[in-house]
Formats: sequence, C-alpha cells, structure tokens
Amino acid sequence: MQIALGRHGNGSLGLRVRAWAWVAAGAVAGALVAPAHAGWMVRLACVAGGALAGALWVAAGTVRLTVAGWIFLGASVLVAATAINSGLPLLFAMFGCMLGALHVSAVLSRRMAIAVGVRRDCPARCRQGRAVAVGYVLRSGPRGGACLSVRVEESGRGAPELPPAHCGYVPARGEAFARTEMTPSRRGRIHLERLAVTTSFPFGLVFASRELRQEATLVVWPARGRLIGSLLQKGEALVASPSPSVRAGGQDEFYGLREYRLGDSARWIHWRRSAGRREPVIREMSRPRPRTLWVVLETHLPDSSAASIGRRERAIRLAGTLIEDSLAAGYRVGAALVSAGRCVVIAPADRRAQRHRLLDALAGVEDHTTCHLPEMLGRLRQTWLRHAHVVIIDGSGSADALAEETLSRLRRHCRSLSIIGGDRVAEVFEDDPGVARAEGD
Amino acid sequence: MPVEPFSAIDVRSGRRRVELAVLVTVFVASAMFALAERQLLFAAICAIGVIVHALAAWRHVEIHAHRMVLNGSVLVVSAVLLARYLSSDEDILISLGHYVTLIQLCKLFERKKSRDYVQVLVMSLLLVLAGAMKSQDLLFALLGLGYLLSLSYAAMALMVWRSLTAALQQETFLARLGPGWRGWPGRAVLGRLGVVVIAMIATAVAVFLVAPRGAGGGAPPLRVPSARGAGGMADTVRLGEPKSLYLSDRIVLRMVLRSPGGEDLGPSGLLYLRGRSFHDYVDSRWRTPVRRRQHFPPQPLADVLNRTVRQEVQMLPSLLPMAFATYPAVAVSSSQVVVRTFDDLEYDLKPPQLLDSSVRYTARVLTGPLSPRARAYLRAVTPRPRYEDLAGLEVSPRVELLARQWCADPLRSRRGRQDPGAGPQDLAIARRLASRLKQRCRYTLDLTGADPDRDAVDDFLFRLRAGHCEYFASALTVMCQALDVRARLSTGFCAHAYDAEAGCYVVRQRDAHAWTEVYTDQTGWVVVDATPSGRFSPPAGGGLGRWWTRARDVWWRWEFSWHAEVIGYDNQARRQLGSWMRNRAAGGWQAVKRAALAVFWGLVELFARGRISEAVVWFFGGMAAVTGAIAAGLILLRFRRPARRGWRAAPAPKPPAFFVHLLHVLHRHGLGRDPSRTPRELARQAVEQLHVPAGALDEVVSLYYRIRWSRGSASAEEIRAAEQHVRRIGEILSA
Repeated sequence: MQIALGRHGNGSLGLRVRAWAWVAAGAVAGALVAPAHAGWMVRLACVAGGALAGALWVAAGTVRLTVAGWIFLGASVLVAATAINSGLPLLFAMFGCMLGALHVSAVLSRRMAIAVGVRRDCPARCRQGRAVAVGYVLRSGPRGGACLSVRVEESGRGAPELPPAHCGYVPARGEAFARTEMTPSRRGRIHLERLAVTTSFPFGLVFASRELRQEATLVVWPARGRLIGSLLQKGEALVASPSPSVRAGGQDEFYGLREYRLGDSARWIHWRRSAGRREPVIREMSRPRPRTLWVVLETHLPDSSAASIGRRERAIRLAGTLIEDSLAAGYRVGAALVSAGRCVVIAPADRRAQRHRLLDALAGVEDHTTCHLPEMLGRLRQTWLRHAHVVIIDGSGSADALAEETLSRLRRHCRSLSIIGGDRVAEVFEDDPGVARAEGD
Repeated sequence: MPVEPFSAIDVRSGRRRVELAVLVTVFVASAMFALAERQLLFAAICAIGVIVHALAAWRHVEIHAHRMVLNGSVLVVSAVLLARYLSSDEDILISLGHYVTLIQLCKLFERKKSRDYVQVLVMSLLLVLAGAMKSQDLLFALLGLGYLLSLSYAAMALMVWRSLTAALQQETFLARLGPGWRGWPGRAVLGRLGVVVIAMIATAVAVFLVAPRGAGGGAPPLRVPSARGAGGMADTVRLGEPKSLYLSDRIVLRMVLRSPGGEDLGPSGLLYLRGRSFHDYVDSRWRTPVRRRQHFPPQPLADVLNRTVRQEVQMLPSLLPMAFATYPAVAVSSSQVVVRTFDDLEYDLKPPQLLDSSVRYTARVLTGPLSPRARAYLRAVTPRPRYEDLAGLEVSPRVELLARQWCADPLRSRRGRQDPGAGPQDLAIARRLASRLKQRCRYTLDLTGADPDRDAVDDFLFRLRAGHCEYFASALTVMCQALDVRARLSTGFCAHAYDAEAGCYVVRQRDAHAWTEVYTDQTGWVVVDATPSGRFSPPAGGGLGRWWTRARDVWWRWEFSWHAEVIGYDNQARRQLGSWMRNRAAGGWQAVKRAALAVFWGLVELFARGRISEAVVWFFGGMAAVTGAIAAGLILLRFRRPARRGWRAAPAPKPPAFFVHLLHVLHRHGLGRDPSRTPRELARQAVEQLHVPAGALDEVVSLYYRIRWSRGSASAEEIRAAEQHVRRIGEILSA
C-alpha cells in the first residue's frame, strides 16, 4: 500500500517557518531585555543572544545528544579545563575542534532529518506468524543535499515493534529504498500512524529525528493451519464451457462436442472429429458447480481466562483456514460472525474480493456480548441456506446450548450441518506450529 | 594467526574503506605522539601493525588473534609499562601514551565490529590529546590537521558502514540487490567531510581566539632547550675542537625598533645584539665567572629613559634564558617572563612556567652619542674594568709578539702613560689588529683541521689561518688584552636583514655571532668586529640544493610565525584583537551613520532645492546595483529551477494539433478514444465503423507516431498535409 504525501519534503517548509519564527521571537525578546541605556554593541549582543537561544530552542526539539555525545561533551569539558589550567594553545584548538564536531553534528543531522522525505510502502494485509516486508521510499529534498545513514522507524501510540529500516545513502534530489520485516504475532489491525526519520550522521554524537504523520492500517489475517480430513465435499457439474475453468486444481471433465461458433478459440477445436465434418466442432467441458458454504463463528467468551482466549483464537484460525480452502476448492463462501463489535453477515460469493472480505472480518473479531449464536443463525436467510453446507465453529462452547428447534430448522434448509467446537477442533484442524508455539509461550 | 575473509555483507557495505580510514587515523595519531615525545619506537611498532592490517583489508581479509592471546598481551603490556614507569622517572603522560599505543595495537588484532572501531578511534584521540600536552610544534599541528581529516572521514565512514550493513542484513538475496542499492556513497561522504572539517576548524579558530588563558601554575618547569646548538649561545665559548659547523637559516628572533615616541624606526643598519660577554680566556675557552652576580641597578632617570630606543623582541624559547639587545640596554621588561639583571647590563629571562610559545620582551637601549646624564648613569651601573684584571692573562708569547708587531705605531703613541688603558689609542690598537686579522685569516666553518692540544688562538693565527667568528673575535680580544687594552668577547646575534613587509629585523640561526668590545673612558664599550665581511651571505649552491635551502627557509619562517603568532597568543594579544575589532566595528558603524546622514541631507536638498549631491548619486547608484544583482539572481534561479526539480517526472508532451483535431472529429461522430486503445487501433476502428479512407488516416497516425515516439521532427509540409487529411476526413464524415 502506498500512501501518497501531499508535498515533497513532508512539511519541511512548515518546520523551517516555525524555526525562523522562534529565531525571530528570540531576537525580539533579546532586543526587549537589552538595557535602555546600553550601547549599540550590547544591544546587538542581546539580539544575537536571543536569536541564538531561539535557534537552540528549535534545535532542542529535534536534536539530542546520544550517549556517545554526552561522553564526548564531558571529554570536551575536561579538555577545556586542562587547556585553561595549562595554557597550552593546541589544547584550546582541540577543544574548539571538539565543540565544532558537536555543533556540526547537530546542524548536519538536523538538516538531513528535515531534508529527507519518506513514503511508506507496505502491503495492506499480512498473515499472523508470517513475515511481512515494510518498505520505505526515501527522497532527499531539492536543497537538502545527500542524506547519509538514515534510519526510519514507526512511532506513535501503539506502534508495532518493528525493527528500524536503515538506509545508508539517499542521493541529493534522488530516491533510495529501505526495508524492514516484521512478523505479527496476533491477528487484528495494526495502525501505523507516524514515521520517525532519524540520523546521527556524521559522528554519532547527536541524534536528530523528525516525525511524519502517515496513517496506514495493516490487517493481520489469522494464521493458516491445515484441515484434517475432508470437511468439504466435491461439487457437481452444472455448466459447460468450451474452455476449462481458470482456477487451478478444478475437476473439469469432458462434456461433449458442438459446432464451432465465431469467437471460439481455435485451441479447443476437436480436430479429429472435425476432420470428417464440413465444419469444425469444438470440445465442451463441464465445470463443477460451486457449492455454498456458510461459516458461522461464535466467539463470545464465557470468561477472560487465557484458555478461553486461546480457544477462541484457534476457532478463528480454523474458520480462516476453512474459508481459504473452500474458496480455493470453488465454493461460494459466506460467513456470520461478530466483527468490530457488531454482528456481520457476509453473503456468499467466490473470487478474491470475498476472501479479503471474510479474512478482514476475521481479523477484526473481538470479544463481545452483543450477538450470540442463535441470533446469528437467525439472521441467515432461508434462500441462502438452500443447498449450502453450514459449519458452525464454536469458540466459546455455547453451541451445546442451541435449541433443537434451531438446529432442526437449519438441517431442514441446508444440505449439511457441521458443528465444530470444544475438543473436536483438534480433530479437524492442525494449527500453524509457529503460532501455536508463540501462543503457548 | 587466523585469517578470515570478509563476509559478503562486509564486502558489499565497504568495510575495507572503513578499515583503511581507521588504520590511517591510528597511524597518524601514533606518529603525532612519537613527534611529541621524540621517540620513534612505538610509532614504528604501530606502523608495522597498521601496514599488516592495511594489506589484509585491501584483500578483503581480516587478521585476528585468539582472544586469550590478546588478553594475555594486554596484561603483559600493562605489567611491562607499569614496571618501566615505576623504575624510571618517565613522564606519566608519556607512559600512558605508550600504553594506549600498545593497547590500540592489540585492539587492531581483535575480531572487529563497529564498536571496536569506535574504541580504536577513541584511543587514537586520547593519544593525540596526550601529544598536544607535550608538543606545540608546527609540524605537530600540521599532522593534527591531517589527523582531523582522517578521523572525521573514518567516523563518517563508520556511520555509513553501520547503516549499510544494517540495510544489507535486511536483504534476502545479496547477489540480486534491487535498483535502490547504490553502493558506497564516496562522493557524498567526501562532500560532507569538507563541510565538517571546515566547520570544526572555524569553531576551533573562534574558540582559540576567544578563550581566556589562565595564569597557569602547577605546570612542569621549562624544559631546558637545546639552545647550545644555536651557534655560540652558551655559557662558555669553546675553541680548538676539530669539527665542521652548520648554521641554519632558521628564524630565531624578530625585532622591531621603535623610537622613544613609539614610531617604527625601520632599518637601522647592522645591529649587534649582545647576549653574553666573556673576559677570561683560559685553555682555549672563554668562561663566565663561576658565580654571576645579580645586579639591581637604580632606575634610570626619566630623561634618560625617554631618549632610549625600544627594541621589541620576539624570540624562540630555545634561546632562553638569554635576552638579546644592543649594548647598553638600560631596562628590559616582559609580561611573560621574569627579568633578572647581572653585571655589565646582562639580562636573564626566567619563565614562570612551561613555555612553548615565543618569548616577548622589550629592551630600552641607549644609542648614538650619549648625553652626560646617560653617561653618568652608565658609569654608575657598569663599573670601569680594572687594569689588574688583565694581569693573570695567559697569552702565547708568539701571539703577543705578533700583536706588538702589528700595532707598533699605536703602541708608540700610548707609551709613557700611567694607566695605559681606556684611552682613544686603545680603540685604534683594536681596529688595527682587526684589520690585520681580516687580511691574514679567512672565514671558514670547516675546522676539522683544528688541533685540540694547542692553544686555539695560537693555532688559528699561526697554523690554520682560518676560522669562524669566535676565532676572529677570540684572537682580537686576546691580542688586545695582551697589549693591555680592555677588551672582552661578546656573543649574540648580528641583525642585518630587515623584512620590509613585516617591518622588523629577522634574525636567523646563522646570524649568531661573536665579536670584540673595547672599552674607552670616552665611549664606553665599543664593538670592534674582526670577522671578515661576506659571512652573512647565504650559502652558495645550485639546483636542488638551492631549492632545498629555500624550502627549509620557508619552513623555518612559518615555524617562527607559528610560535610567535599562534602559540604566543595570550590574553594581551586577545585583548588587542578585541579592541581592534571593536574599533573597526565602531568605525564601520560611524561610517554607515555618516553615509546615511549624507544621503538623508542629500535627499532633503534634492527635494527642497533640486540639487543633486554626490551622496545621493552614490545612494541611487548603489540601490540600482543591488536591485540589478537581485534581479539577476532571481533570473538565474528561474533558469535553474527545472534542474532542481529534475527528479520529478517530466510531463507528457502535448500532442500535435492535427492529431488533436482528428480526435475531435472522430469523437463528434461517436468514436471516442479509449485509453486502452492505441491510435492505430482507433484508426482501424474508424475505418471499419465510419468508413473513413484508410490511406489518409494511416498517414496521419504514422506522422503522429513519428513525432511522439521516434523523436523525429516533421517538416512543415508534412504537418500541413496531415492537417489537410484531417480536414478531408471531417468533411467526409459530415457529408
């Protein structure tokens, strides 16, 4: 996902204006506090001092000393004391060089931090327990010159623990790329609010950082495990087409021959049969009719114990795996679940968008008290349930309490009904080992 | 010793550059310390280690020793240096420097990560700091400049390397790095290096100029300089040693002459700057009295002082403790050093602390015909030399005989006097002897033929007949004393070169000189120089030797300026600089105020009376120039702006008019352009659906392709023909 920024430089103009405003304010304050009867040199010194104080105040917002910088500053003070005590001229020069190193570090690093603009380039979705790469496109501003040793990291409240991305060199008026990886340990939504561009170039003594507001959301789908046994049955042939279905792993079979029509691909002409006829004939293939699968997920927690939460998460992973497998097998999949605090019923469909929709909803499943399993089942229309397989995944153990009337209604309308909950989850579902280990920890 | 190749990440991230930069820094630091302590052993050891590592790094290989070996080495080094320090009187700073050098060397043989490089750099900085506390030489400072460069580069390269390494560790396939990988940013680092070093030097200069100097105290006493090699600057003058002397061109002293009113007197001819005087010649040697008596002469009267010439002297500290001035110097003062006065108006300078900067003092000297009061003062502070002092003189009979032969006439005129010395005849005798000496002997610095077993003066006069100034002066003094003339040998410098640009006398080491002074009651001590003229000419030589001499001369000139102007910069100089800047700023402000007032009144006059004053003309001319410059700058910026935004994508070129017209025509008749369709596909569709003539349409589209994609230029006729085709298509469709 790319978040476009308005202007190159990410607000560096605003920063500059603010900095100059502080400097000007400092100068004015210096002029005001200057003694009334003072000479012009004293006044000038007051104004310059005020401006300097303003500049330092601005710099203090973005620049701070590193540990090495504090040690270096202490060493500089020692050198200064030695120089004053001994009167050795070269020590004065060395003290000046050390002060200059600190000063130029602050100026350069701040200038680089301001000059470089960053655009986050990361996917919108990722999977729990799988590494996802987050990229950053760094751009040096037109007047900033080359930027060196730049680090980009996520900041702001609730920022994920993402290792910082490093970029050694951003050429002047050019682009460079930096990337980092993270492995989300939990499903859900990761909100990326801010980016911090930091650099301690040239000497690592001063650390300049600048925060950029760039909002993005990374949806973490539940980890995908493995279904044991065949929860899903084969489909039936419904339509015929001159070409097999696009989806790989389908069960397309030969259906029959028919005469060639304009627009048919020559690839599917049955040449051997056509040889004895006056016009070519073409093969037709049967394509399995997609069946409908309803996944009903109950995630209400009876208590907030770790075991309950683990059971719920496992049920969610089972639902996600079932949805993905079903879609891959050609099913039209719908779901009823509680996501983002409300009961969500997603009508059955196939295709990639449905997969995103369902898994996004699974990523947003939370603990709730609003909508229970009977209510969710009641929201399913009869027309949707016709010829459908219904799988109720119970993460809370409340399916046992379902009324027989509800179950019989379901059985009457749907083709098959499966209720997976409690210990049965382990019989039909093998969890992702990495995620299971992480949750166990 | 294990040798391990760099990893792929290290190779790609430019570790070799970092390692080489760090090694250069380490080497420069150890060389600086060696220069400061005047010992090459540790620097040589360090250089070997650095060269080994540099060769290894050049081949992308790291040499490292086992950790146990390194730890053992560190312990051994610590123990050895501690034992050495305890058993000798070595300076603790030197011992610590040796320790840091060896630890640094051990560190080089460790398996290095970025942290280790930082530690090595920090140790090199400590070494340089220790060196700066031991030496203030120009060469040390120049090496320090090189160290600053290499340290800055190494630190910056280290930062970039760390960043690149971290970036590469995120990459999965190092062999197939994406287009974003740009490799080592050498030019960018070098560009920043210039900025960084200039800023550091500027800050250093500012701090150096502004920082207040303390009074010192607690510092070790002055290291006795090796002034003995400065050509006669010694407590004794020893003759008769077979040797060859070399007198360098090194500048050792500068002197400005000022009149009593403070004006610069400019060149004043040949000046004999006396440092020491000797009366006793024994065993080919001139000696000062065993106990020199410190003298506290009364302050000269104001009218005597007001007629003195001020000699403002800056000299190298290696000449201490002597003070040099033309005789008689009635007062010597200095803010840096303590001045002590001895008999015969000799002065010693005693620094209160370690002093590496140049020594500055002012001598007030009586010149020209002395006033009666000045003569009286001199008689009071310098007693007349007694005739009995010459009684114990041991002179070779041959020398005395020769002197008498040369001065038969002056001696005859002096005969019969009770006190044969201190008359004008003595001066005539001395001058006669000097002229004869110049005729008889020649000047040379090659005294390898001198016989140490013979009396040096006798050997000089009767066998060698050649020698340098000390021989000539000694022979003259001894001969004078043999003839009962009160004479003494004086050593010091003969200032003859006046630097018109600097406005001062420049005295070099080769200007060290010895001469004779003869006393008469009427004139006091008078200089009589027996050394032949021409000895001040620079050594002859050609080709490379001359260039070498000239380069050495320049170097010594810089060295003196370094000591005089930089190392000698003190609180007084700082105050002078501050007052100079304040005066300049005040002068500038006054000038601005005057100019503003002149412009104001000029404008008033212009509006009131219609007169144009010169100030108004200048004002408007200046305004026009500034405005023109700003306008020119804005125009330049305007032209440069596209280049600055070069990274932005260039906008698509505008399609030619005939093609736009064709699209309008087709759109009017229901055939809009689909972005997914190429112009040729559009043309084919138009031919099929609208029955447009295919030939004309094909020509129009082909021309568009040529202009748009092939960067080809179309002639005016072709464009005109295409427009006609489009017009015809429009007519056909309308019909």
